[in-house]
Amino acid sequence: MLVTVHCFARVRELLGNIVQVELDDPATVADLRQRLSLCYPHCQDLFGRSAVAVNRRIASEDEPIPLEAEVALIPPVSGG
Amino acid sequence: MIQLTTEPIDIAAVTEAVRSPHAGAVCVFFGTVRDLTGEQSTAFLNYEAYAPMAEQQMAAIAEEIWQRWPVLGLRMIHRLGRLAVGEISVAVAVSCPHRAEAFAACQYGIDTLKERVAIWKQEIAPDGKAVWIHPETRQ
Repeated sequence: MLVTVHCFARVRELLGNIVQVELDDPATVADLRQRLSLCYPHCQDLFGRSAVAVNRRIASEDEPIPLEAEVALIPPVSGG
Repeated sequence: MIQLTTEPIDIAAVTEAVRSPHAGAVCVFFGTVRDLTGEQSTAFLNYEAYAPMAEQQMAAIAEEIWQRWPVLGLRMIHRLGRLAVGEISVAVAVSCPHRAEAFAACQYGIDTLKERVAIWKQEIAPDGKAVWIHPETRQ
């Protein structure tokens, strides 16, 4: 399945507003991380420090990514 | 009750919005753009949000505050886009019957927002060098 990942802040600066990755169905957040690190090795450090949001909630590593889910990378936040 | 905006935050409007005849205390926090971080000088900041998620997170924090303290009025506003030094980036306003609970609720609101909500700042130095701020500790 094709997963669209929304990017913000430094991640967006490096990869653009969105990246699309192909994952086996079913896939978990951990699978997505692995694929992203393979495709974009220069961002590995930042990926490691980022959370993954699935449908606007922070997801755990073993959480499945549903088809058509809204997925985003959430690097450490700095609002306020 | 919660809002993301690109418009300047109106101090009087935020304060008035939480005032109540039942409230003996109105506690308001304004985060403002500082000119220096350590020795690094800042010309301006850019704020960016994952807006739908940030709004949902701010609403969840507001709900926690309503549950935990005897709140009469509550506003949480975060500004986005380009902000000059001295401008207000965030406002948390709380009214309660007494001051101790108003202070506690207001502090919880701003602390939790900073720790959790999907908003990021980019610092732009006078020489044009721009850096996204991603604190070391993972949320």
